Amino acid sequence: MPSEIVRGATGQPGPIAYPSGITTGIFNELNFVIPDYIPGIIAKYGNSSYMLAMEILGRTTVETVNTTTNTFSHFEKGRPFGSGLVAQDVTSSVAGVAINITLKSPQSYNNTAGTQSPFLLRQVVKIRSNGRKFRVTNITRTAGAFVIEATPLGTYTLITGNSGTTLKAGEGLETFGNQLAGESSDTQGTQQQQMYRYDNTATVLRASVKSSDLAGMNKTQIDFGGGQFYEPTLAIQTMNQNMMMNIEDAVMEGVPSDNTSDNGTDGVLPVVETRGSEVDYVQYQFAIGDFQNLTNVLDANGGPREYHFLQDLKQRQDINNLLFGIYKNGAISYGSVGGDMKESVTYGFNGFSTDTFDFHFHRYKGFTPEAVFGYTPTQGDYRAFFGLAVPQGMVQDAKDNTSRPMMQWVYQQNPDITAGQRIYSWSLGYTQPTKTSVAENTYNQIAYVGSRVLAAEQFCILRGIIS
Amino acid sequence: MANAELKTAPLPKEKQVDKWALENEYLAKEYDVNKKYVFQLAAENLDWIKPVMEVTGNKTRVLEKRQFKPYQNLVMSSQIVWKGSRVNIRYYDGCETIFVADQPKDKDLIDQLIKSTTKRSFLDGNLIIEGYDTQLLRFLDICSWNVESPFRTNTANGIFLAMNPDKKATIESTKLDNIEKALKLATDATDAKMMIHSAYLGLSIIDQISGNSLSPKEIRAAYRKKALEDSTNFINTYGNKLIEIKYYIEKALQDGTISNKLNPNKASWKSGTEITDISGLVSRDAIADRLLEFSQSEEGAEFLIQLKAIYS
Repeated sequence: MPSEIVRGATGQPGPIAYPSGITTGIFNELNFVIPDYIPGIIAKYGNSSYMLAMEILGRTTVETVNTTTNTFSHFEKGRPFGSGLVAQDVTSSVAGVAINITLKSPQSYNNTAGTQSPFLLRQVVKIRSNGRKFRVTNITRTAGAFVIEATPLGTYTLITGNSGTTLKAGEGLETFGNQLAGESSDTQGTQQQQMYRYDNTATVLRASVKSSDLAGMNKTQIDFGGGQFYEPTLAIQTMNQNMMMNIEDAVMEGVPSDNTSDNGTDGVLPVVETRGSEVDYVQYQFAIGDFQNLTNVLDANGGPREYHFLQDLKQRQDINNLLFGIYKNGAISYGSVGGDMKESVTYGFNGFSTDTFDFHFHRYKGFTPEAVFGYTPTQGDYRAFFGLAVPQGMVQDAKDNTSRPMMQWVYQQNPDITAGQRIYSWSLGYTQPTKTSVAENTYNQIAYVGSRVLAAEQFCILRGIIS
Repeated sequence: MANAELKTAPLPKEKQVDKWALENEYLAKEYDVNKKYVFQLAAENLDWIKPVMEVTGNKTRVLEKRQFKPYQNLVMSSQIVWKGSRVNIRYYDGCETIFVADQPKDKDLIDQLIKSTTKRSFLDGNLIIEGYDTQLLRFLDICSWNVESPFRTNTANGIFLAMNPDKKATIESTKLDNIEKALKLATDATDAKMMIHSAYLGLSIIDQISGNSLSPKEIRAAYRKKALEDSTNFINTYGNKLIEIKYYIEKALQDGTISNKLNPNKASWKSGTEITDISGLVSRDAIADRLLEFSQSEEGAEFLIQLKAIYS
């Protein structure tokens, strides 16, 4: 057998001599240096905790419900106990003698026309300033100026306070039933709580991401999450996050548009600003008196025992400062509000009880542009030192007798989409099930959502103002 | 001499007093003890997408929008710009001054004052204060929360404003004066003037049902009605020369006295005499606007004279 051809020896001249030793210059020829890097991607401004109200407050305070129609409604009933105000001064100088009282508009009337009021014949009515009672012996129903004939139950005059001869304009008159029906009494008049219907609409939120073929097929060395090394993942994640915040802002702040082609939605905060109350205090000077203002209002509007505060960080700090009494003139110290030494070290209250109300404090990023958008406003900030007191309530549903939270995110459902899916996602493109002629992929999201606030009168806004 | 102090002449006494005239005026302001003063929230409620409905038996009716939120408390301390610098003011019941610098400094006494001060609030947007609460009224007039206070800081939240009955009456009177004036103009205007102004105000000159032209009497009735509905706009636009000229131009374009038939890029009189260049303009409105602009220029003076000669 012929031997194989032996190739001539190669490899000469062999090693390179480096008279000055090896330097980094050698790396110019080595293109594949092993990099040392963290394979993931770091969130420069923190991991994207959405800080959504629902996550913060839990399902017992906010719930998600469905609607099959764009407009959704609920009904509320008003106060069961009637009252009115005196429109103008009335002289009452003879004890036991009836006087004619005109009822003030609009406070004494249920409707704008001034044709409905809680007053009925034979009712016993109490004067707020002194507790004196009279019986309604006649009513002249002039629109917006009902005149009631008030006959004292005893030999006294019907005046404001305890001296003088005048029942003053603005005096409060509180109705009760017939407390003096006497023998062989007959039927009385009827009162019923006023009923209200509140409607709102679901707004439509959209988001999209488009990625070309080349952008989507070049593998990178960065894990964009879930073992995804292709760049479009990041844009899709951004879309997801933006969609979540988009929904949050829509339901909290509202989308105030109503025209023939598109409806927005009334947000929680505008509704509370209209129907609920507002307690103001001076920024950095939150005092116990401000808490008392708050509890007075909550008490007056029938608020439940427990409230959750969604607050921007500055208001939270104001409250911490008060509760721990760090100022020399501080109203209270941590010990007097149920705190302990451990709390004094951590310096932050999660809860506080006063005037029969329990408050829970939650920091809500959505109010703070610094945290969300990364800038400090210089021309005013309508949500600075801002807090929303949300009742921890389970209002009774009159229809099915179940209890439900007082804040709801209402999602309109498309019957073609899987029930319960709040945000619907779909895609189309050259690698997607639905093909397009252009070599790119498009990812879409859509949500139909509105807010519903039950008994918004029981909510309250706490706002730090500045001069 | 080099180190000699420069002496400036002292300001005349009157000028020194004038410098803080506004502050002094507010301090000297007197209130009628028998009157009630009303302050109202500056922010009104937003319109809702859907109105609130009241349900009564088998009827549902729209409830009138609430103008203001039901409750907002009054904050009784503020900072203001007073005599050229920022100062603190605070109201306590029974305290003789609202300026913190002049108020008691003793902490116990301050605590006592805070405790004994009645809390005030805006109920359904209104805060009513008795005329004898002079220090409180002074506080409300000058504090930074009052959007009309001349002493408020630039950064302050604007919370309320004073309901001044005189101011309100003046506004109402002005409105009524305007209506009277507008109605008189509408009644006295010549037919020609009325036609020009009616066209500007968008009044129809034909009967929409029959298609007949409206008589001057019919147009005048609508014209007077318009004066009643929007008197301010009516007065402001009545006799406006530009409106008249534009009316003449539109009329000329309508009846063919001016056209671009001969050359689409030129507006010309019917005789063919060129007026001005209108290259690129297609719609009649755009051409009319261009001719109006031309009529106001130096080169357009002759055109204006000719136009007026034809129509006025």
